[in-house]
Amino acid sequence: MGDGVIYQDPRTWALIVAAACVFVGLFVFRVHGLPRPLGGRRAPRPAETEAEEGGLRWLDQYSFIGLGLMALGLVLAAAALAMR
Amino acid sequence: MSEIATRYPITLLYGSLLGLLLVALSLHVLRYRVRSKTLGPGAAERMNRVQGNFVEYVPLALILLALLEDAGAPRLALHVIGGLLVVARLAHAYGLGYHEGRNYPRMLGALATFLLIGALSMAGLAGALHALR
Repeated sequence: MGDGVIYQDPRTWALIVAAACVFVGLFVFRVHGLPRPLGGRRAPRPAETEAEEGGLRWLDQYSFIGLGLMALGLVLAAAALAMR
Repeated sequence: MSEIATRYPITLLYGSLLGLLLVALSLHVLRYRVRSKTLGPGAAERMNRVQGNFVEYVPLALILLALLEDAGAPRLALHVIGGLLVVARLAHAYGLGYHEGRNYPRMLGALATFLLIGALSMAGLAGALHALR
């Protein structure tokens, strides 16, 4: 059984969650790339049958979730490091 | 209670809850298979995937949870991760099992599972690197 010293510091957990957010966010973002409103010509063209609401298609959500997770991870990591 | 049971009480709790969920999902699949003539093969196949997806992700999460518990991770953090994992799997099972195509419970359940396994892995990596130093 480990001593768990590294896990007793809340900053360690902040960095762990931050790293997980960036890691998962990166791969979620790769599902679709940039959302159409931000991607311009480079954004992949969705299937014609895909429903659209408010100028966004379903796949665009993956872009925003991915970007959001990465941003959250970076902010969390910066905050954790600033607390030292 | 035996020594092993007291050594991993949190993993035992969430492993048991998730085990009950797996049994319920498995019997649900059986029910859909039996009734597939009236419900159509699509419904039975979807329920099959609910169980398959559960089996693909939950065991690794439980192993990581047990290893972190053994490594001395705080109880609160493990309860948060274990509790969220149960909720995420329920949401995913509901979304995939009862709705065709894309839906939010399914997407959020899958995303939460990825995030939780990611956080468990990062925590394990931090502990392993600390121990090997």
